[in-house]
Amino acid sequence: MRPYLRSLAGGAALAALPIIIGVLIMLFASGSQVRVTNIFFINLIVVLGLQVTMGNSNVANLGHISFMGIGAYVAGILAIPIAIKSTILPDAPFGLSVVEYGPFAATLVAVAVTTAIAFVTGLVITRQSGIAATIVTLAWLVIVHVVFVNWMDLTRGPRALYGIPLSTNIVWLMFIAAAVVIAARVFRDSKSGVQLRASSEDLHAAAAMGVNVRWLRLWAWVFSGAIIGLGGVMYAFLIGSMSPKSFYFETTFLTLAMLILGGMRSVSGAVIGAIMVTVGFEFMRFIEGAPEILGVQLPQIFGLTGFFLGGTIVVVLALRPDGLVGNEELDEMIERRIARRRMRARVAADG
Amino acid sequence: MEYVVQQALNALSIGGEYALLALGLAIVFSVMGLVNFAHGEFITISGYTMYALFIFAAPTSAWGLLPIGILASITAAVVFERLAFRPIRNAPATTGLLTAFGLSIIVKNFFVTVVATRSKAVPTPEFFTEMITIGTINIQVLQILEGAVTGVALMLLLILLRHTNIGLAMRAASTDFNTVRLMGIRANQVVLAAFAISGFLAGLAAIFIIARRGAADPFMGFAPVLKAFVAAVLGGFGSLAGAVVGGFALGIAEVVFQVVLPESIAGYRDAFVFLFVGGLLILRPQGIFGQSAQFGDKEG
Amino acid sequence: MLSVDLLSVSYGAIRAVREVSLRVEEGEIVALLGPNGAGKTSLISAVIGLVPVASGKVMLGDVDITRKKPEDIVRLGVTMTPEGRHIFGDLTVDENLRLGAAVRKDKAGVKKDLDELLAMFPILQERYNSRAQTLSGGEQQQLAIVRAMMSRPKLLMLDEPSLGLAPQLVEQIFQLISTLRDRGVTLLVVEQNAHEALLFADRAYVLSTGQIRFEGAAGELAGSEDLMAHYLGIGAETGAPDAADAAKV
Repeated sequence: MRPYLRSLAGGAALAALPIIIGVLIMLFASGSQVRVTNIFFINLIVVLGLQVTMGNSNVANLGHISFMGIGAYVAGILAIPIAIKSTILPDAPFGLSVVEYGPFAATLVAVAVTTAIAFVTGLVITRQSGIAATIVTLAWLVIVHVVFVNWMDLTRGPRALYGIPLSTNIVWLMFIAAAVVIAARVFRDSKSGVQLRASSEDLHAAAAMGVNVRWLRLWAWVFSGAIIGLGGVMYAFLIGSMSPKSFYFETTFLTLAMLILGGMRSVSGAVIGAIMVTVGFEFMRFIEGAPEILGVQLPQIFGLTGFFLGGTIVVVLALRPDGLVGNEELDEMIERRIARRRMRARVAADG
Repeated sequence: MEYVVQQALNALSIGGEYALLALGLAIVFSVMGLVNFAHGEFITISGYTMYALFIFAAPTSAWGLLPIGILASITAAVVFERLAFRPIRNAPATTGLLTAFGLSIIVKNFFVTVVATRSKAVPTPEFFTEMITIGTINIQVLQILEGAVTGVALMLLLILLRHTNIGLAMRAASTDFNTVRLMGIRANQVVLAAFAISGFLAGLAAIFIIARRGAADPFMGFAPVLKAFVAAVLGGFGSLAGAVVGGFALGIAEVVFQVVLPESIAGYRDAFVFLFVGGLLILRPQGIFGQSAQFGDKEG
Repeated sequence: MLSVDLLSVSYGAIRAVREVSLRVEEGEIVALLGPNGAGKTSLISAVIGLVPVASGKVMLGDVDITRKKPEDIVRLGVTMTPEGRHIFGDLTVDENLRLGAAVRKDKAGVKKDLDELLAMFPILQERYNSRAQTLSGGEQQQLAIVRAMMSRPKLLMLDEPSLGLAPQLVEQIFQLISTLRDRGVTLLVVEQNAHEALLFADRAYVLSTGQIRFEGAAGELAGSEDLMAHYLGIGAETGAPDAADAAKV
């Protein structure tokens, strides 16, 4: 089979997972479970976006949630009806107070803006390597947060921005998540993805082969920014309101924990990790006995869930540093098992 | 004139605090390639230990709390190393960084659950907040102390690094840990010393941070350590001299932006400071003191 | 003094050293020869504890040191200068040498050894307060050897002491090495430069693709062109072959 077809097939098989989950939830689950699943899909999109850059280049990225925030705020501000805007954002700059976009147009513009910002920041961040790069991503998260909190006219500052028309639902989210699974997988197996992964293991060898590591990392960073921006847009259209706090460290840690638990080196790992952490989180919450909860977001009063998150990261890294799935995609793993079994059978037959 | 001196002292004391923290980060990083994101938790643990002592032992003077606060920070550093970082000592840098993140979350949540999310008052000696008048200039004792203590701590560290075997070993380990072991020096001792020093420096910084805030809360360690990270990167991550220079440079940059930025956009100070650092790093990606052409070094 | 029994070293699926046995008696100079990638460095790194032993046994006298940490083995009187010198470049010559003696408690003895060794290696005396990375290749090699001697080892393992040195320096280094024996040190010298090494060694082992191919008196090997050609691929004029570097990690 041609490589990209194989990768497409592998991605499609994996993409079936969110579809199956979505369909089962729609058929059998209660309203609160649907809400949990919706948030799960958004987190999954963000985790996949994170996997694209962090998993392939192996540089820890702590600034990804900034793109979720940018996507969400841009889409939200564009989509809020003019009538509401005149009360909550009367002084919006760029004449935004008299602009009202439909969900599609808002999504397109928001993803485009996020991508452009990702490109500009990527130019800086990809000049750094290793740990310095990680810390620059963290500085970026803080910069964006500071802007969200202080640009009162545009974002309402620390207060909630509300009134965004609810324009998405579980069906949309399910299909978008599935599409992003395939996209992340195809990127991983693409020439750029393979070169990037090779360079993360041996930078000098990769450079010697004529691979422009910086360019590859920039490309992954921008693609990741676009995906995460889309995740942010979906958040805006699902919840209908947001505040800067929604896009800061709590969400950063949550999505990171998902990726680490599953294994950041593979797309399968990102999917499995998102599922496991969501399930674990809900279970912890059940044990905590906290009555009224929405979604996967960290509750105001941590407790078991906070320990669960931190503990998951520490224990998984100590015992299984590559995460549950490891370096290979699930389909590759299964294929290899089958191939080995066949080989053994053949050897046995020959002998 | 008075205003300038006042602001210069401000820059010096803030810079000193960042330098202490950045130096702790840099020592651990240079010895074992670990980016300790849980460094801020040393400050938090220090704060809550002082709080607990204040509540349960009810000392008559706040002076007694200070050594305990420092001791708590050192202990925390050593315990973290033993329990969480030793198992992953030879893992890629990214693994260490993320483990530290996990630890940080656990510690924060511990205090949220066991104590409270709200801050708790921690007393420090009143002497700290007294004012000294020199000529026409009023200076807070705390500011002088911060500068002086930072200076003394740096001096002690320099002596340690130059004139003791463990200090020499730590410097040597930053380039070649295996060969240090071939000198018969125990790897665990070198790492332990690095963590203990890092904890000690964080403990000093913690005292000043608590003296300024007058309280401890579960998230208090985060903001200063974030700045310390930026300072360390600015100086060239892993370079000890760079950490100190980066710390003071960041302190100066903060005060300058504070003074220069008009009231209306003062809230953006941190954004400007970080953008400024980002700009510097475009010109000099390896930081002020970092070695160039090390693309990929210490990378997972 | 040192006896290695059926020692194997693996890096993942690659077996760098396969069931190697060798012996070094007190007071000897033993050469461990072989092409690049033969597993020589892996072998002595395993002896000193820097890389894990997959199977086999390493004895120092009556003490089993098979899975001990390098720092503990050094404290028992074995040390090694790693390939490529590995001096501490940011530290001065003085500081490098102080680290070399870090495990010793007898200050007077350290001072005496330092004076004697500096007399033997006068260039280090001249550069005593320079940063080590400013030294030339030959000076760095001398520093690495003296640093190792400062721990007063019973057994010193040198990994490719002639690597990257000009030919006249190579001879000088080997001459210095042979004088170390007079200080009561037993030496195991890993080399690709077989001709030079055999001039000073008592006995030699030849390692290739992780296995011992020859062992015997140094003179026997050096004296026989057949043996040299067969085991080391050395003809009258050709140098060591560039074998694949696969096993070296």
